[in-house]
Amino acid sequence: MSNEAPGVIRGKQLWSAIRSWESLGLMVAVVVLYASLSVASPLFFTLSNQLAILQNAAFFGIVAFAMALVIVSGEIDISVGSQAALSSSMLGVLITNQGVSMPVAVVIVMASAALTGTFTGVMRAYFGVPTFISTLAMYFILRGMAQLLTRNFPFPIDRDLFFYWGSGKLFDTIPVAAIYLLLAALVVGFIARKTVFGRSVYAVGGNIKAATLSGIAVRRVKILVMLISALAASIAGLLQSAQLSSGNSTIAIGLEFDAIAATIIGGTALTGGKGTVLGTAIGVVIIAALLNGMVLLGVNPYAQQVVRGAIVLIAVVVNVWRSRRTLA
Amino acid sequence: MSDLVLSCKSVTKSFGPVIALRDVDFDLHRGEVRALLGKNGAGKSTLVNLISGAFKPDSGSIELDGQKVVWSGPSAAQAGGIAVVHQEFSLVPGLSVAENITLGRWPQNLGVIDIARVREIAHSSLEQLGVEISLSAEAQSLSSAEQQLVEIAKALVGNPRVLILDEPTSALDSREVETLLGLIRRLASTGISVIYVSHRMKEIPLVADTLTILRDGEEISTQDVAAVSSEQVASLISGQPEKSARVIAPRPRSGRVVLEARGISYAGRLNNASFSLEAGEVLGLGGLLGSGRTELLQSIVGMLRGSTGTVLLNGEEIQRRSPRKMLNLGLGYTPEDRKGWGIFPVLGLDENILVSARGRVLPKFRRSLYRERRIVADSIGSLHIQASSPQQEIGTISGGNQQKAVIGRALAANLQILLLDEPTRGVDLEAKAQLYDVIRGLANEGISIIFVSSELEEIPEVCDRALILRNGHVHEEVKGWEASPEKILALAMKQEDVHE
Repeated sequence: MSNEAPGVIRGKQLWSAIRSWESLGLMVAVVVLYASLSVASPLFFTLSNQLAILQNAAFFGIVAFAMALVIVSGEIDISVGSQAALSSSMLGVLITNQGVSMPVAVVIVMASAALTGTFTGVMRAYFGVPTFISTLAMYFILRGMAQLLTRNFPFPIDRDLFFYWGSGKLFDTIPVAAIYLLLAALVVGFIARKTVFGRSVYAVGGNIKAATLSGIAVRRVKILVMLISALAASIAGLLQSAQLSSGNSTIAIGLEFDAIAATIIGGTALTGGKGTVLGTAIGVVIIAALLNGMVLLGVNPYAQQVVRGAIVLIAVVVNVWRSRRTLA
Repeated sequence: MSDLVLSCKSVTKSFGPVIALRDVDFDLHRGEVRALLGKNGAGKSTLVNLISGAFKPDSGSIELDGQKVVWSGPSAAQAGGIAVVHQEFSLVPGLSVAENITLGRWPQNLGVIDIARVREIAHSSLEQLGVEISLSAEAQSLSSAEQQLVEIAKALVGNPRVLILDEPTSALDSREVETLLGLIRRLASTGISVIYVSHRMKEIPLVADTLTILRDGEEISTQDVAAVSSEQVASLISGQPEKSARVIAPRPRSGRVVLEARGISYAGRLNNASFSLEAGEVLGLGGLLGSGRTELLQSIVGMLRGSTGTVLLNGEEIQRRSPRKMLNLGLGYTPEDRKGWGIFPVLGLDENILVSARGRVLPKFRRSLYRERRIVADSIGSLHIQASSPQQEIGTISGGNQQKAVIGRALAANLQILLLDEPTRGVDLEAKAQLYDVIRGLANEGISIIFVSSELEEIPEVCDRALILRNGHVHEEVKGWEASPEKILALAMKQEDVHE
């Protein structure tokens, strides 16, 4: 019984806390990825490139955080790309064709996205339509509506201010999009961890029957989750419009893939009930860094697609393997 | 009763420290129907599982036709001539009757199912059973009685020597039961030996030749059905009351009704059930499996769509009931099916305890971490929940501790009325005693509790009053201190009046 005993125990506890930390494996993956990309390309680990990564990450990252809530609640949203495109198209048409002022147009666009999200949520909560199906339908409906609105031509938006809010740089260095990304992570993280609604999302995804019996407003949770996802997709569409200075119906193709992929790489269980915003954030960084690195290395764009898909498969296998290990 | 078909010789099986079956001998003759009786946990299913190859005995042996057998698994036992019809239906809803009967052994040519053979096998199996069901009907279109018959027909494929039926009548109405019992007798007359597991006393003399009673893993009695009365059987099943068993002291009734159910009916499972619960009492619900105890509670909390009748809380009728609404009104239900309806397996113990409290005793929007931590600590302390940390995933802690957490969840929400459905199921003795104390303590604080238990010894120990349900109707009321297990069991198994 030496005097050091408590210290030793604390050290051990810290070590076991680190070892059992869910995101540890992911952090290791990030470090390995960064190390190898830095070695492979001298351009990769520079401040400007890292900020560019964050800026690009914002487009799907914001959606990914909301997607994490959706998947934790046991649902899925594959309509996010089309929602982003519709939001962008509506913005272009409202501002350029209808002469609506920018703030009003943004409010209208986001309100209509909220309505769409509420609709899929209500379909799920009250009519039992699986979100996989309803958002698959929305995937086509929303994209089609965007194309109808714009006849598939970009609507140029000539607003300096809007451009600044969307793709400007703070102090001429930090992209505002990166700040939005950070804000989104903080907001969704706060919702998930610190609010009654956030914890209810986990409960509903963890066992919907028990959630019902425990007096959670299960329907409200499902609707809210889909609404948040649609809003996030709409914001991604607005950001994209700002960067392109146009309302565009062809943007954000494959957005759902990157968002879902980041969520899954981040350790979110597709069966619901489990997942963290921190993990998703790491997933976002992994995907964004990987895409950026492949461009820097001049990887064939078709091969890039193969890598993207393969990463998701590997992530799922790792998740399943890990959950089996903890059950045993 | 000449030739011995199945013979278990002093089989013993234990799970960890728990001995589920101890030195049980069990002989079954050709064409004999043997009723296997006992309470939950008496060892019936363990014995069935040993005979049917799901478990291997720790010691002792099983002989079939005089040959010692050691099954490698259920399919080996099935091939060897032992067929089991489990209580839960195992039909594939979208497949036809013929496909279901031959499920798992579809005759095929180069991977193509030989439909003619499938129908032929299914037809002869149904014929052996003596029923007519369309071979091409989808299983989901059948009534539960027909489904049960298809299950049995499925078991008859491969000409088993021994047919084990586990609660085959639990989903059937009385006419269907009669038909089924007749069919079982007929099968027995063709030489098949039947092990009939059931809780329904009145079926036993109609179907069985002999009966075996298990209690606490031991064989208590095996004799001819004709030689015993159902009262004798009931007392053999429940056992003598233990000397140490505590019996609740009589308490004055408060007389203030907090919850009243009037004429609750539901899909033939509840028939005009009525009762009232008074402030600060523990009210037991006794009855056999399928007597409607769970359904009655579920109807009150609004889980059963289409149940009729009136529920009054403090004299006020509550319409459009839902678990959420009832919780908001101070009434909570803890489910019997802990895994399916109780716990959130991937969430921590703390989250499991807090879900109902949030938005009720805790703030609606923002979490109050400090108060949450205190509630969790109180709950873990007062219920003696064992876990490595409050954050431990509840799916990884023991069943008894999970059960306590589910009760802790209701307590954390500060409810005035608790409906506890089998709260002590799967809980060890020490934890049970702790739960009894918690329940009595709550009642003394003025909380009103309904307590459902299949373990009848619990009722005199915990309940001020007990109601007996039969066929979804509340029949008798017994004072808690007079509610001996034998008395409750006898009432629960009482034959129904014919005119019903």
